[in-house]
Amino acid sequence: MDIAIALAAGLIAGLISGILGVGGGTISIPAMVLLVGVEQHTAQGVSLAAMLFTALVGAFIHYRQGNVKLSAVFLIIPSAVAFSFLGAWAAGQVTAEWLTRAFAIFLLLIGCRMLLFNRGGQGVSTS
Amino acid sequence: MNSKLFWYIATGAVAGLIAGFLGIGGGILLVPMMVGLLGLTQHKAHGTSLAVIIPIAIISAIVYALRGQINWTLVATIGSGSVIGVFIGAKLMMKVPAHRLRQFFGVYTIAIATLLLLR
Repeated sequence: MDIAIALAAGLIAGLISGILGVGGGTISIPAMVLLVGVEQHTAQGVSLAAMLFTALVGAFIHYRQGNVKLSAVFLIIPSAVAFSFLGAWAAGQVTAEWLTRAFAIFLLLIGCRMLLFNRGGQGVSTS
Repeated sequence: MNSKLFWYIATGAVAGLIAGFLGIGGGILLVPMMVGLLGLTQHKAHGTSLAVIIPIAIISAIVYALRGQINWTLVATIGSGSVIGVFIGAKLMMKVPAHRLRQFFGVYTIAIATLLLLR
């Protein structure tokens, strides 16, 4: 049953991120926490590991279409890697309750931004 | 410091920090920052952010894995579901009104946030 929920959550997360470019972790993490009862840290760890597959596939497709600016990738990666390490470390320093709260507040801000700045055309962002 | 270079470093720092801390990809921040601060087009920002997410996901996932906070069965199911979903989603992209879906997604995230806060 949990496997079916996880598969469905993955499908929906993939569908929305394919169409809008958003929704990887924002869909799979709450689904794991609320429906499967996974602890917040583990839900986030799973989200990050699962995201690797979609990012690899997505980046490859976009690269072939000439939509990856490599110079930007190399300029952003050093600080992105250093600070994601810091963020992942910091997550281990707080309790699951506080991490869930922080995650929920972030979702709330994202939701408001989506509704307030909803321009036409295609996706706002990714994963 | 070259101000352009500063914005590249800042973009990576903000997106990386939030991505590692909250377990999301960071694309939700990367794309608007790439468009607004770095002057990339929407399409280039979309593709470029996916490429940046790869190392972010690897490093963060390793940190979570070292703490034993990864369930590999869930990774396999959610991962395979997502890859299938992304392919279907990419095909549907031109047929579904993005504006409507974004409205739906906005309402969805606010509802989920409320559920998580009240839990």
